Amino acid sequence: MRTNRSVFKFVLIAALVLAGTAISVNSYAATASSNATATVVTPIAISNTQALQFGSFSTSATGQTVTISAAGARSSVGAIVVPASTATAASFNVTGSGVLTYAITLPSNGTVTITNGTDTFAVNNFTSTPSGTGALTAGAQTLTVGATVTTAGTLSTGNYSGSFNVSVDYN
Amino acid sequence: MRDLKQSALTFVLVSAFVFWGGIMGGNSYAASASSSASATVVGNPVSLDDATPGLSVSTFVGDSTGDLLIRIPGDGLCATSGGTNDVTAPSFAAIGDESARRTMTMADFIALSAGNGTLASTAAPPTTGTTPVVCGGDGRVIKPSPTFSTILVGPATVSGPYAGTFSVTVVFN
Repeated sequence: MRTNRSVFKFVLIAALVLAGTAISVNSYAATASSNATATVVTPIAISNTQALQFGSFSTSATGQTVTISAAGARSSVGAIVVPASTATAASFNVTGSGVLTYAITLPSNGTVTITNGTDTFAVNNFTSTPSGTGALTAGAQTLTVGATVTTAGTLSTGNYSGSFNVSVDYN
Repeated sequence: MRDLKQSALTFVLVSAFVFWGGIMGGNSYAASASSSASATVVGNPVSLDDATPGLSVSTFVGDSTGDLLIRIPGDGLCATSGGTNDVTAPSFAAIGDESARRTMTMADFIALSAGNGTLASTAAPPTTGTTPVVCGGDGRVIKPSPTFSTILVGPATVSGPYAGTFSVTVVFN
């Protein structure tokens, strides 16, 4: 009977120690609060509003060029342009959020051509305004693109056409 | 051992989701648009072939200064004033693209002349600013327009045959 009392005491003491330990562990906990934020922006988008037009010109040798600047000015080396023919830089509308900036990716040299089905021009040296990085104003900006066509000898007369892509991405 | 496998599986799944999310997140902000590019190649207006008939004044009798007024209008006919004459106008064959507009420009003028003297030109002929000519039809023959040159002949001009040349150049406009 005395043994039972000892066992009971032992169990009681052990329980108290365990409880004390648990309580003492809890007494060291600390809590802090942090804000979590996020900003949802309008997805950036781009649409073409004006084609890149080199206009009419004649050519008689390899390496003659006609260039349309991003501002839409036409110049030529060797090739004889018809001044009355329409020449325009390509134009794009870029839309997005607020005043965010974005990166502009133009076609690399050697990737764009225009053709009449028989002969082909290389279109290289793409330029843009703005160049490299654009900055939206009130969520929009106009992006213009120019390039240079280079002749490959005497080409058959007629209309030549092709297409190219311009990409934009938020910085 | 079982916990270890479960942890490894969890790690792989989380990593895959993070990687996929990164890819999707990157693509979701990019945008691109396509534009057409075009050009029209035309023939080279390297020269004009002087087609027949050339300017000729086979006969003319002038009785006062300013009697003969030779014009080469767009219809290829010559208008005259005073005197009597038999005049034909030249036409020109353009080499190049016939659909392109061109400006006819008097580049040079050599007065009609002969052993008896010179059939004088009254003034320097127009060298620029002529009306653009649009080639029509087959476009091979174009005619200067409007007035190209004016020759005034006075009564003292010695009669006889006269001959001369003048040239015309064309440029795209």
